[in-house]
Amino acid sequence: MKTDIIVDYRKCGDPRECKKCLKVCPPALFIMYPPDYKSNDPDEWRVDVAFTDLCTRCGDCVRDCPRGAIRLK
Amino acid sequence: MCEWCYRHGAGQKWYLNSRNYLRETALEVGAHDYIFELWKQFEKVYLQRIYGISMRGPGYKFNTPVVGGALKWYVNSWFKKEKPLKGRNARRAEGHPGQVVPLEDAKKILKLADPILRVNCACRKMTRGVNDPCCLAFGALAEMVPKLPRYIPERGMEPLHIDEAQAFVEEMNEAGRVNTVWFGPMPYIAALCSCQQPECAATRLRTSYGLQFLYKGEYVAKVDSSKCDGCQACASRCQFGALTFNSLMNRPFIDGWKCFGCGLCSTACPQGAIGMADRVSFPALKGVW
Ligand code: SF4
Ligand code: SF4
Ligand code: SF4
Ligand code: SF4
Ligand code: SF4
Repeated sequence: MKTDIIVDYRKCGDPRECKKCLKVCPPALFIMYPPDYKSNDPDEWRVDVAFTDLCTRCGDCVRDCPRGAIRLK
Repeated sequence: MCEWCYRHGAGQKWYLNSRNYLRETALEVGAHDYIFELWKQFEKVYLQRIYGISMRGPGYKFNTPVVGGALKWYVNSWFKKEKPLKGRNARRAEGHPGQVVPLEDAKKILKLADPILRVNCACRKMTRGVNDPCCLAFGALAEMVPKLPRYIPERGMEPLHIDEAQAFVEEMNEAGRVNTVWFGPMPYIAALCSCQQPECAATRLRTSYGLQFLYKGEYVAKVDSSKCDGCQACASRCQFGALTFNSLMNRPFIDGWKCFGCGLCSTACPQGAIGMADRVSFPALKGVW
């Protein structure tokens, strides 16, 4: 079964103020990163997901996201 | 002795060869630029799509017969890349493999490295959004950290004296962290990490996908059953699924094929019943890295 974990960026703002998905995911699949790599001290961060083939679809991230920004497909 | 010991160890283990820590060596391989590229784009390296292998779900690709095997071989060849000396591609982690080391060897490494700077772990910052200053950065990496503010701990840059650094890795060992030592790039040695699953990117690539980014250690744990009293203190220490407590024999069973030689079980044993034997002393395991 192939899993996609989709983050709606219109709903998720600056992950540094929330980080709920990063903390709750048992296999630590969420990551936060600065999209602008030109800056050494980045101010803009966003959430993304890596290694989705390790996702067990436990649903914890969907349940805990306070903004309803995460969807599993 | 693994393949790197033969090539970069000058007769000993590669990470005990003082030449691999010298500034001269760092300059020879362009370590400053390489390290800066790698750490600056750390998350991008983790997320990127490389030759059709999306790091979002590499397992789907690696599991396809034939093609999957070829891709793995190809990706593994980047980590081992030794040439050119300068200008290897940091985004592919060319020449940047690491190896598990037990506590005693980690302490020896800290005698050779200078300066030693404690910095935020890049993997944990990325995956959990937590600043955990547990990576010990050496020489060229330590010099580049001021240019990478997100890895500077909240209480500022922390240069450690040898004794402090050794006490720190002892603490990490007690907490169940696995020490790993890193080329950056080969043969220059840039860091000693204190890793744990599942946050560590390197351990993930190795244990979930079988990529040779992280090598097994130079040792394999071995139980002396005459010393073991069955206390089970070692039972929860293994992160590699190599140790289980065997209730029939009332002692741990260590699967030598799975052991990464981290020594965490050994340091937890009050009876000194688990020794770390040289990998080459097991004829069947000497080529299992
Ligand atoms: S469903 Fe569970 S395993 Fe999958 S991303 Fe969400 S929290 Fe992680
Ligand atoms: S839990 Fe939701 S809102 Fe919070 S960082 Fe994750 S995706 Fe964004
Ligand atoms: S290799 Fe280990 S200690 Fe180093 S940055 Fe990654 S998790 Fe942290
Ligand atoms: S058996 Fe012991 S030395 Fe081997 S990987 Fe497990 S904890 Fe480490
Ligand atoms: S910690 Fe030592 S004495 Fe206790 S069970 Fe493990 S090997 Fe035996």
